[in-house]
Amino acid sequence: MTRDHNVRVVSNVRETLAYWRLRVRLSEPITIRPGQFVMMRVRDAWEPLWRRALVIYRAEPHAEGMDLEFLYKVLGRGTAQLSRQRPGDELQMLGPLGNGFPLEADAQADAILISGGIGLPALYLLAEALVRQRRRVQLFHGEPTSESGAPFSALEDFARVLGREAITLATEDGSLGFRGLVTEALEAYLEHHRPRRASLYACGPTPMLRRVAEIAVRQGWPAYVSLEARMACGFGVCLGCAVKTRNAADRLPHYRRVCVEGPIFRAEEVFWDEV
Amino acid sequence: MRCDLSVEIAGLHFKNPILTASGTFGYGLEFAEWFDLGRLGGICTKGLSLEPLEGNPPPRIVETHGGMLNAIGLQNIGVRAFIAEKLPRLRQFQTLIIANVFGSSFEEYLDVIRLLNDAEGIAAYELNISCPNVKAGGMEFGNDPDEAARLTEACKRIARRPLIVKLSPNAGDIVRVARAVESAGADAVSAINTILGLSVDIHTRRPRLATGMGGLSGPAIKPIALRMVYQIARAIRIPVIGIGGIATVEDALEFLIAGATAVQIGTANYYDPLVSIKIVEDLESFCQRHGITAIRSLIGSLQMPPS
Ligand SMILES: Cc1cc2nc3c(=O)[nH]c(=O)nc-3n(C[C@H](O)[C@H](O)[C@H](O)COP(=O)(O)OP(=O)(O)OC[C@H]3O[C@@H](n4cnc5c(N)ncnc54)[C@H](O)[C@@H]3O)c2cc1C
Ligand SMILES: Cc1cc2nc3c(=O)[nH]c(=O)nc-3n(C[C@H](O)[C@H](O)[C@H](O)COP(=O)(O)O)c2cc1C
Ligand code: FES
Repeated sequence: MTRDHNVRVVSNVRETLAYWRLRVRLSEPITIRPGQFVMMRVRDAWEPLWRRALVIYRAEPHAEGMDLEFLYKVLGRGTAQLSRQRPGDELQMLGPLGNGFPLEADAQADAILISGGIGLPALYLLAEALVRQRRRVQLFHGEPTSESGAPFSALEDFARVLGREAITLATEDGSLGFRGLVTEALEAYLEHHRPRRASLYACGPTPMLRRVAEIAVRQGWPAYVSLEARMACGFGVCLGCAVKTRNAADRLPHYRRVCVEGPIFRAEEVFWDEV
Repeated sequence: MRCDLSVEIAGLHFKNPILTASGTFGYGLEFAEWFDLGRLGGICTKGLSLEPLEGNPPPRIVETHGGMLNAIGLQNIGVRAFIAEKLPRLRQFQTLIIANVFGSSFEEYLDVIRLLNDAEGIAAYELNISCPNVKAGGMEFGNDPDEAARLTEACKRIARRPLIVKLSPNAGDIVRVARAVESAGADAVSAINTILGLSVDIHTRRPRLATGMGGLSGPAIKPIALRMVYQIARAIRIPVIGIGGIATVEDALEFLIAGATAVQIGTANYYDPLVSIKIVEDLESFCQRHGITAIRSLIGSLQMPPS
């Protein structure tokens, strides 16, 4: 159930230039769907005003409850403050929130996961769940450059679940792996292997998601994208996180809340010109 | 010794002076899984219009120092859906439900109130007059004392429940508007709504909100809200409900002392969904610690130096 959990920091380390890994402890296990997120606040901090949205990267139940891991980039005030928290410090964690990825759909198809930058953590629990369903899973991950510090240890986490050969790293400057955009790496793969049927799951910058949506349409495959929006509450009451989508039933445009009806949407539901 | 936290507004008995503000508490039910809504003095619903509204394009919100700007565009499910889908569950809680009402014309305000009149389980109406009057060139009802009074009078004539008029700080002189709506028959006023503000992206040189300007709320506006509530409370005889940046019991107490009979918690609900209930609990323990037997005794007890 969604609750405001008081959690303690177990560890909080900078793993590469750009990526931090936070581990927190809950006193009881909670049920999480892949792709769900939390709204995090340093306990009793007055600044910044809003909590910050973080997707649940990994979950590990144990005798004392459950540990959750988050992967984040320090961008502004909120994530900088988070990066200063030490083991033992307390955080207020509202969650889990959002709809999560649909797992029941397309149970026969291959699964192709595509992430750009900090989109990566949204896909780990999904990868685990898909593997449990005995689906064939590929991961394509993109970074601007390996100099900025690709999330190597996180890619190791994925490699343990998927096998190293299932992972393709793309860098725009070609400093590591495929040279180019992650969606170009995906296209090259599709051209070469011509899989008959697959479903796409993606999280990353909007231009990347949009390209994934176009590829899905061209292939006639389903695609599920995880969207970002500025969020004041994260649980549906401020209406600040609206995104314009087509209603599946009447095809008419409606604003939906990224925090409740999302963050995962079917790619063809999204009005990409207005994201 | 127990403290009597109850207050009276327009003949209504509030079990405590802590209410939640319109647009920051959804339709109430969103919070019901976290605490008993019956422990609140009252709940103001999201603003209700005659027809459902889709709201503004995103981005609709931006965080600022100590506050936030919003231009939600009054998105809501419409008064009929509220009555049919939300109210039946909401009215089962032992708290007072205040329906927040707005329209783009006089007639629309009246139509919404007529529909609510026939619904069961609503204690009062709160008129949001910080809305553009489409028929008067988009000028906000609440910015002009005469216009605000005419609207209040028309609504009061048909309202079967007490009428609270929610004042806009963007009016040239909020005290004049308060006096005008009092004369027009308002049973109480609430203040303040959000303060018009702007935030600029220096790289794109465009506003950070898609529609341009937006309403500022949160701790940043508290001193302004408090000053206005103080001035209004001195100028009129009907009760004032204080709103603006309240996040702690101390904030709430400041408003009561400045002259508010009750308060509404707004933006704080977003970053701490349990804040309203914490403030109720903290109010109780504050009174106990300080030997206050009735919260009413604090209302308007501010001692201003003579000017
Ligand atoms: C559902 C969801 C899950 C997310 N998961 C992760 C994650 O696992 N790891 C991670 O590093 N980041 C994640 N993000 C993005 C993260 O929330 C923002 O990077 C973070 O809020 C930036 O805050 P700041 O104080 O560092 O930056 P500031 O620039 O100070 O932020 C100012 C405001 O803008 C908002 N904002 C800024 N950038 C973004 C953005 N890209 N998306 C949404 N809102 C933004 C902030 O929330 C804040 O309210 C997620 C976002 C969403 C919506
Ligand atoms: C996102 C948002 C939506 C709001 N929607 C409404 C509304 O529909 N009707 C209304 O009368 N006030 C609305 N308000 C104003 C609040 O009820 C309150 O008057 C204001 O935010 C100041 O209080 P605060 O600083 O505690 O938030 C809204 C405020 C915010 C932040
Ligand atoms: S973030 Fe408040 S409704 Fe989605």
